[in-house]
Amino acid sequence: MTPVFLYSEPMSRVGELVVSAQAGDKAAWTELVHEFETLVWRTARSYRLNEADAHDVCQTAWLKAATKLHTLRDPNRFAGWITTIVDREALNTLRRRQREVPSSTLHSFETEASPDHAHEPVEAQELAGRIRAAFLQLSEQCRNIITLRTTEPPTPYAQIAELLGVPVGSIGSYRQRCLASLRVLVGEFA
Amino acid sequence: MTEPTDDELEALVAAVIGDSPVPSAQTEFAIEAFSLARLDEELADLVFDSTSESALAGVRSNEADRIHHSYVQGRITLDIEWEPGPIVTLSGQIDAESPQEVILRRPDGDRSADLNEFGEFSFPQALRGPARITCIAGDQRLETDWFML
Repeated sequence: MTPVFLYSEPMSRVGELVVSAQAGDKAAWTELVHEFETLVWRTARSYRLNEADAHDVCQTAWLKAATKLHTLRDPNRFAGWITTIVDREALNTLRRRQREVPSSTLHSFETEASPDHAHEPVEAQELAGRIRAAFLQLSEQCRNIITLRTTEPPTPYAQIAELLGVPVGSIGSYRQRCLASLRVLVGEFA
Repeated sequence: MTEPTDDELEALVAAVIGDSPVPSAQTEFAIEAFSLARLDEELADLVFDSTSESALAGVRSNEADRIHHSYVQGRITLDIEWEPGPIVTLSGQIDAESPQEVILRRPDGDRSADLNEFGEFSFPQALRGPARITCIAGDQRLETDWFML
């Protein structure tokens, strides 16, 4: 039997899609996939996973999300819920890679510059590594906001608010605080 | 470089985490994942995962090469292990009264394996990627969550 939950906040459009999908509506699930696929993909890629590993992580995350969707108690929080699943799968994959490459460490996976930057000067690679490490230290909410702003064109505030289930008036200040935290964590931009 | 503006900082993050578009195969897979799920499915508890940070502490390196999961659901306990790689042999054991069937479920189809008198089984030549296992023993059933082989 589908569990019945009482919601304390007004249901967002995403929340309504989640509730419909929980009741078995595949069209609602399809819409959720289209809304969140970029966030899921870029969250996986933010762990410096190669394309094949990012594929596996995202596939496992979507399968887990579909299988456990009925356990999501607050449908408005779908974004945080699914990116947490991606985070766990990405970290599991990194640990697995450590076993396959015994001399490496999780820290080095998180801070090394990506192969895409291999042709760049050492300073630029080092900065890229610090930005990645700093980004991964941000709160999930901050990572989600910044990730959604990295699309081309950047995702509008109204859409970010809808996807993340937060008031649209808060997004600007959230974004500024998140970027300020990122600057502190990165340190020098030289 | 000088201190970047907010927009420039976001552009730097995009360059670092990768701004590649979502592959279309990924979208199709995510949509079809819904068809592989059953509403209200009860899943087994993962009671041990050798890749968890706490499990990794103090493990000898040769032991750490293999991944080990233990699941419990009802009166069934399932232990599985494999060595990570592109093609793996997944082996395991079901601890239950009268284990009857073990099924390796993948997004592209299911496979069964023979069980010996001790409830042991093996799935050779399994490709890396998402998987889950179903065990049936009498009127009991154990369903794992998806995990990555």
